[in-house]
Parts: sequence; C-alpha cells; structure tokens
Amino acid sequence: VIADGRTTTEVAVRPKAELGRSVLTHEAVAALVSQSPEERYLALVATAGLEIPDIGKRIDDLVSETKAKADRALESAGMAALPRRNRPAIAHLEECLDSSFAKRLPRNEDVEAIEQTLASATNGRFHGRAWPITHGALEALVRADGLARRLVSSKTDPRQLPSAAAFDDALQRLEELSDARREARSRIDALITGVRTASRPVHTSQQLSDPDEGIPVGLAVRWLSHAESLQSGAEGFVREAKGLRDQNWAALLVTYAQALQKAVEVVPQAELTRASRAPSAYVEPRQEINPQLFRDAGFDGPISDPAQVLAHLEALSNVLAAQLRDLDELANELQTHPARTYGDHAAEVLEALCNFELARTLKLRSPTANASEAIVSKLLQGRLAPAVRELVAAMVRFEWYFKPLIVPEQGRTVVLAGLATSQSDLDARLLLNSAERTVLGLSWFLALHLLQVPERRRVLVLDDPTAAFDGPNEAGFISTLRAFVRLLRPEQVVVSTHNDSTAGLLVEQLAPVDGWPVDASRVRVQRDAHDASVATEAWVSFESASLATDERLLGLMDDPAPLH
Amino acid sequence: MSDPQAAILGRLEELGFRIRLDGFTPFGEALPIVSAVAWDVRTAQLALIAEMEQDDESAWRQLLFAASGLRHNLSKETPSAFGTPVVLAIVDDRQEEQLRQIAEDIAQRYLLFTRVDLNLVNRGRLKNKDQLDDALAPLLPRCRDLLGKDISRAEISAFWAELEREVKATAAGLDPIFRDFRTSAGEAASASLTECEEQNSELPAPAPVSRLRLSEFRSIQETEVAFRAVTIVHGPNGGGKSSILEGLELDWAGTSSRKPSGVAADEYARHLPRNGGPTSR
Repeated sequence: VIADGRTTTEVAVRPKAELGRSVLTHEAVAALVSQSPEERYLALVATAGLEIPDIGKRIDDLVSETKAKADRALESAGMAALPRRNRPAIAHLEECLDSSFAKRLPRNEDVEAIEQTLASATNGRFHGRAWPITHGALEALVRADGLARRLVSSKTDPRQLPSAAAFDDALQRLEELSDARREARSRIDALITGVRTASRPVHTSQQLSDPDEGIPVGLAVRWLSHAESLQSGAEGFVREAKGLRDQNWAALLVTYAQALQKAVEVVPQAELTRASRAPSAYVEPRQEINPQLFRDAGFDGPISDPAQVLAHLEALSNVLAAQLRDLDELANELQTHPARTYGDHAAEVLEALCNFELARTLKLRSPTANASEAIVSKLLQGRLAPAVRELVAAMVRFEWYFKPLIVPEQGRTVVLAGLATSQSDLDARLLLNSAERTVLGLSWFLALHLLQVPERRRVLVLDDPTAAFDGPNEAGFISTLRAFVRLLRPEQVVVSTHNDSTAGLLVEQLAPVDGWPVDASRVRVQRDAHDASVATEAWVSFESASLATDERLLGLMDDPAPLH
Repeated sequence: MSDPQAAILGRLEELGFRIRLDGFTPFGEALPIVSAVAWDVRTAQLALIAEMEQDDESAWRQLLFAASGLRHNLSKETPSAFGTPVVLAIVDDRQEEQLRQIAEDIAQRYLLFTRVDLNLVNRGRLKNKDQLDDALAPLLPRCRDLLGKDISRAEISAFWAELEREVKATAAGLDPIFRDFRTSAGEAASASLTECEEQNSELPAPAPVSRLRLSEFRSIQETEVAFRAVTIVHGPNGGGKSSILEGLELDWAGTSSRKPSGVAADEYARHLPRNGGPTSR
C-alpha cells in the first residue's frame, strides 16, 4: 500500500491511528447496534476512543484484589480470613482479637463446695485445701482482655501495647492454679483407686441410678456441692457489695446475691445429704487401705466406711479434671491468641485492611459511580444523545412508520442503553429492522464524529452505508449526509456503494456548491479480464453550483429573478 | 404569523438561516400555501414552511409536486445548489391525517420521497425547544448547536480528576484506626482505578490521502486511486471497493477494522496478498 509516497507492507500489531470516529465499517455498525445496552455502551466508548472504563468492574476487581491481600496479612498474623467481600474490616479485626479470657477462669468456689459436702458427709474428718487465690490470675486475665481490646483503637498504637508481657503474666498465674489442682487431683484419685482396689463392687452403676431408689448418689453430691457453691458465692457478693462506692451497683449486686440465696433455700439439704450417704456400691473393704492415702487426700486419718464417700471423691476428682481442662485451654489460647503478637503484625494488617475497606466502601457507596454517571450524563445525555436522536429523525423519511427512538432524559440503566423506545420495558434492539439498525449505527457514528475537536475530523469514510436501504431511506440518508458534511466540511469524504445509481445520487448531492467541496469524483472499481480489481476515475466535478443562481431562480433575492 | 410558524422561524434564524416571509415564487410562479422560506448558505438547505387555515387538498398536492420538481427545475442549466427541499407542513391532528393520505397516494405513483423531505409539524407538539428541534430534525438544529462542543480529551481528564478526588475523599473518611494508611490507600485505589488512562495517549486521527497505490493486495494486482475532496467509490460486489478502503485504513492505522480482534497481525497479514499470499504463487 503506497499512499502519497508512504509505503505500508506490514500489518501493525497495535493501530497507529484511531479510526473509530472517522471510518465507518459494517463491523462498527453491528457493534453499535446489535449488542446489549451495557455492551453497546462499552462498544460506544471503545469506538469513541474515550476510554471511560467500566468503573463498576474495576471496583469489583479492586475489592477481590484487596481482600486477597488482607486475607494473607490476617493469616500471617494468625487470624481468620475475611468471611465475605462485604464484611466490615474493623468488625472482623475486633472479632479476631476479642479474648474474653477473664470470664472463663475456673472458680475455687466450685471445688470448695464439693469439699464442704465431703466434710459434712464425714462428720468433719475431711479438710478442704487452701487453694491458691484466683484474684491475681483474674486480674492478669482482665488486664490481658483490656489490652486486646485496646489493640483495635484509634487512640493507642498497637505496636506500643505490652500485650505479650500481659499474656505471659496471666499464663504464669494460671500455671499456679493448675499445679495445685493437678496435685490435689492425683491424691484424690490415688485414694479412689485404693478404695476400689480394696473393696468388691456389689452393684452396678445402673442399679445405683434406679429411679425407685430416689435420687442417685452422684447427682445428690453434685447438687449439694452446687448449692454450697451458690451459698458461698452469694455471701461473697454481699461482702463485696459493701465495698462498692456506687450505690446503684451495690444494690444490684445485693439483689442478685439474694436471688442466689433464694435458690439455695429450695435445695432439700437434708434429703440430699441422706441420699449422698446411700448404701455404697462397694462392700466392706477386704483389705486395709494405706492410711497415708487418706491423709494425702485431706482426711485426718483413715475413715471406717470409705466406700460411702466414694461418690463425693469422684465428684471432687471430676470437677478438678474439668477445671484443669479449662485452665489448659485458657493457657493454650493465651499462648496462641493473635492479640498476643498483634503489635508485630499491626502495620501490615492495618494497611491491607485499610485498602480492602476503601475498596469495599467504594463499592458500597460508589462515589466513583457518581463521578462516572456525571460524565456519562454530561457526554451521553447532554451531547451525544441529542445528536443521535436528531440524525435518526433526519434520516428517516416516513416518520409515521418509524418514530424517532426516544432518548430518555434520566435513569442510569437507560442512559447506558443510550437509546430506548417510548416504552421503557421494550428493548430497542428487538424492535429494529435492518434499515433501522443501520440508521441507528450511522447516527451513533456521525454523532461521535461530530463531537470531536475539529482537527480530529479531517476525514470521513463510510463503507457502503446504504446497503440496507430502500429508495426513500436512501434519499433520506443522502440528504442528511449532504447537510452533515456541508456543516462540518471535512477535508476528505469517501463513501463506497455497490449500487451505481446510488453512486450517481451521492456524487450529485455531494458535488461542489459555492466552492465547497473543491471537487467530487466517482471511482468505479471492478474486475478486469485477468480477474484483478482495477479502479478507474469515472467522473469528476470541478464546477461549483451557485447558490446565488438558485436563490434568484426561486425568487429569494430582493431583486426578482427573471422568468426561467 | 401563527405561533408555531413564529417559533420555527425564530429558531431557524437563531441557527443562521436566511428567512423570506413575503411568499414563495419559484420560477415566477406563486405557491400561496408556502408562508415562509428559510435557507442556509453553509449547508445549502432549503426549507419551505407551509400552513393553511382551510382544508384545501389541491393546495397540498400542488406544494408536494412543486417541491419534488424543484431540484430538477433548478438543474436545467447548471447543477442545483440547493439540496432536497425540506417541507415543514404545520398541521393539526385532522390535517396531519389528511396530508399523510395525500402523501401516500402520491408516493404510490411517483418517487415523491426521494425528491422532497416532507415533515408534518403538529401544532400540538411544539410545546418546548426539544419538540421544536425534533420537528426541525432534517435541518440539524442540534448538530449545529453541538458543533464546537466536542467531547475532548480535557473533559475526560476532568472526569479522572474528579474520580481521583472522590476516591481520596472516601479514603480520608475511613475509620481513624487506619491512620496514615488512609492516605496511601486512597492513592493506591485511585491509581488502580485510573491506571489505563495514564498509559494510553491519544492516537492520531486519519489525515487526507490524495493518491493510493495498491499492489498485489486482496483482489488487486496493481491499481491507483486518486482521492478528491469527495470521492464516491462504487462497483459490484467483489469488485474491490472494500479493498481500497482497507488500503486507506492500513495506511492510516497500520491495521484495519476488518481484522477480527482475536486474529493476530501476522495471521491477518498472511491473508492480504493477492491470490492468498506468496506461498501459493
């Protein structure tokens, strides 16, 4: 291809010029008309070369991308990934760092209550242990909880908070509690084993639980010890209420303690005590039990009927085992909880979550969509749509069988459609015949061409635009094209047609008037004897028609025209 | 002068049309139904405004015949300068129906609508500027107004600036717990949302070509085309019209719109030489 001395022998990978608004091909018409409103909008934008991308999709991509990064940051800080794309980042972080350790600390009272029932069942021969006080551990856990909460706050810098030290302190306190329980339990269990080994079982546990025999021993012991624990809890609260300065809280605590007291009152203490001493599941010991086992377990010496308190001992062992499990779990969590080392990861996590939260907010509130809508409305509604609407109406000769499509004033979805019918629920694409589609495509194209800066519309090329038209539509198109090009006056207009009479009509209508265009020609392209295409300039018009002559002939000049 | 006519003429005058109100006498013969004539020098468009109080079918017929013969009569010695006359018939509902019947009747026997652009302007549908411009569509009132109000690069840039501003404002409004990360997040998000725009610079638009020489291209062995200010390329299907336009596209863009987007440049290039490429020759 040699054009004005420039030679092109290869096809470029990327276009060197933007032809979408200057050269109309059938492919472009199809792209403009046949697609869904959304696609058409994108095709329009692509054709227009305006590069207003689909902001919605970009935001979606941004949400996915930032979520993946946030999840990675959370994971490396030992936290769970965001469960969904619309999960608020801060709420998720708070949930991950929430500890609530303090309320899960096992209570001495629960053990002491069972010890109390055991003491009364043995007429005071059993003495409860002096358990290490829980207050220190409780305070350490409360401090750890408080620090964990302060990690998610704008007022404190998580990197400055001594959460690891607080967690270690709490851990140490928990170990003291565990050690005492572990030791006590091993002694109680040794005695239980001693009693069982020395005695012969006479009943199975099922027989012991026979409803006819009233309440089972194990349950009676548990109930009694629970009542005991409530009682001591209530008394403790009443004492602590007295130390509270705030009278409202003191009153509330006393009311609560009184309610506990009431619950204790309904416990049938006497019956339960009797039931807890129900006939043993074991017959008398066949052999002596090492007296040291009794003393280690907390008795002042061997008791005569150890089988009778076996249920109490088992209850004590069980509650100690449960508390040990809870303490172990708590200790384990203190060691692995993300809040412990959050300070080290805070910068990374906050940065990733901030990016995610921004993308999520953009998607949710979409200020960008507002910006995008504003420009779409300004460009499409304000300028492109009126031009398209007008060109459609101008080209179509019989307005009574093809009403100009209505371009609605408002509503984003319809804006994206660009064109709609007078009934908003109908899709313009499905109503149009091929001539109407061509009219629409041509109108879009010409409107886009019109709305360029003048230096970008030097050339206008239309490849067989009238292919789908009948006579009247063709005439409508040609006279509209005539007015359009005369209005814009591009430096070069090239129109192709397969129809010789259309070519005649085009060259006649686009011929020079008052010096514009300078010249107009008709080039015929056909195959020669060797089946090769040959172009021949078939007709050229240099002579300009004169508007003044026509004005005179039509009597439009002040000086009346001579009779024709 | 009736209100609709005053509105139409006012608008046309605003658009730069010349107006003549004292009757229309083409070739010295009066056409009384035409109450005003408007014409524009730049587009060489002629508009005849017709309005009638009483029903007179023969007057409408006379108008349509006279208008459809106008260009033919003008081009007896030199080519006609005016384009197809645009008839703006101001009618009410009943006249609209009547005029449609007349037009269809004439159209069945003559090539009426290739020679005259008939527009029925219903008096009841001229309530605002939009309706007025709809009625004047063939005279391109909106296109005339929009000329010079181009959708430019600067406007798109303004859009991106607005987008960037909104993204940064949203970032600044996030929970204070994020501290300075809000600023960096705003910058990162707006960069990511406006990414492509930064990279692409506008490609040039095509410039006129006066001579195009094509060798061994598509169905062409060797041919040269002279392009004038206006060039109509015609010929039978398969004659090679599109190949010539494709040659123009290749000169301008180095590629053509006929290359499907999924086809590589090399593959497309392989199909361009005459007789399917050098290998088959």
